[in-house]
Parts: sequence; structure tokens; C-alpha cells
Amino acid sequence: MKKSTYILGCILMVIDVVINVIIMVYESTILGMFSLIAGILVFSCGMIWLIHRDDEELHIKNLFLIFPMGLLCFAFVKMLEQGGLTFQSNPESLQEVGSIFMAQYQAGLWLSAAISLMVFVMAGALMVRRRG
Amino acid sequence: MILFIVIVMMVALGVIYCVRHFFVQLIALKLFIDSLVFVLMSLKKPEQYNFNSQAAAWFIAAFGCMMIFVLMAAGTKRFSHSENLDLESDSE
Repeated sequence: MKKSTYILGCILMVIDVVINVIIMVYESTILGMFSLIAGILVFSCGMIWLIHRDDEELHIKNLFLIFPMGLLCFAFVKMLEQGGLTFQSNPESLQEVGSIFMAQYQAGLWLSAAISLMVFVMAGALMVRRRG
Repeated sequence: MILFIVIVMMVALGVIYCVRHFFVQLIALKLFIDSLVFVLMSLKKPEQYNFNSQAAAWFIAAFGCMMIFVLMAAGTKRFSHSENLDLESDSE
């Protein structure tokens, strides 16, 4: 019985946990904790369904997609190098982030209100009354 | 470090596109979002404050969590009626 699906899921989850722990320790404790809890929930839900369905083999769509992914990876690394960006762990400034967050929240609220209005107008225009 | 994170992002993207198991794709999507959040939280120029990118990281993490839970609920409903965990199985 092949277990490659389970192994792939576990490897992805371990890498995800490592990234979340790094975020939690070096960057933002709250964000890392929330991401870790969400990741564990997604992983446990996925594993329950994989065990429940008892998938035996790993279905792979197209392995040739590795080449465009590699090209994209190369381009992304070159872009980061040319931009002069470096990895630096820095403390979270909740006050500054909160100010930006609230400003963006306000803009997002107006935008979502406009979209909701448009959706209701379109739904009203498309509504058909059935007779008989 | 940058190279490691970019490789992780691309591997996650590759798994999302190549593998045909909904929940493995979901875990890969979570990994992709987390690595993107990590990049946004930590990458900066030496002389630059990065409050904007920190706020963007919070936004992406929050929207990603919401999106993943919606997908998880939809997948649970969808796969409770099907035989396997492949979304494309009905169209073949």
C-alpha cells in the first residue's frame, strides 16, 4: 500500500510548522500562533479525510510544470537580489501596524459597501418574477 | 534564507498545481500563504521601516485563513458525496 500522499502531506505540514515557529519567535508572536493553529486544523482535517477515504496512490497531474516553476523561482530570487532586500528579523510595531491597518480597513469598508450595493442592484435587475 | 523561502514557495505552488488531492493541495496553499507572510514580515532594506509590509502580511494571513476555512468547509461538503479526493474526477 502506497503511503506517498500521507508522506507528502506530513512533509508540507512540517515545513509549515517550522515557518510558523520562526515567525512566532523572531517576528510576531500572535500572528505566528494564529497561523500555527490554522495550519494544524487544516492538516488534521485533511488527514482525517485521507484516512477516511483511504487514498492509496498519489495522483500527479503534470510533472513538467516543475520547469516553469523553477524559472519563476529564479526570476523571483533575481528580483529580490536586484531590489537590495535582505532578510532581517525585526520587532513588530503594533502601533504603526494598527494605524495602517485601520486606514486600510476604512478604505476596504467603503469598497465593500460599494461592491455590495452593486451586487444588490444587479441581483434586483436580474430577478425574474414567476407567474402561474 | 531568502533562497530557502523562495524554494519553499515554489514547491508549495508546484504541489498546488501538480498533485490531485484536495486536502494536500489545501495544506500546500497554507504553506504558500505562510511563506509569503514570512517574506513580507522579514524582508526589507537596511535603512527602511517595514510597517506597510507588516500590515500587508497581517491582511494576507487573515484573508488566507478565511479562504482556507471556506475551502475546507466546501471540500468537506463536496467530498462527503464522492468516492475520492480528486476534484477533477467527475469531469473525466
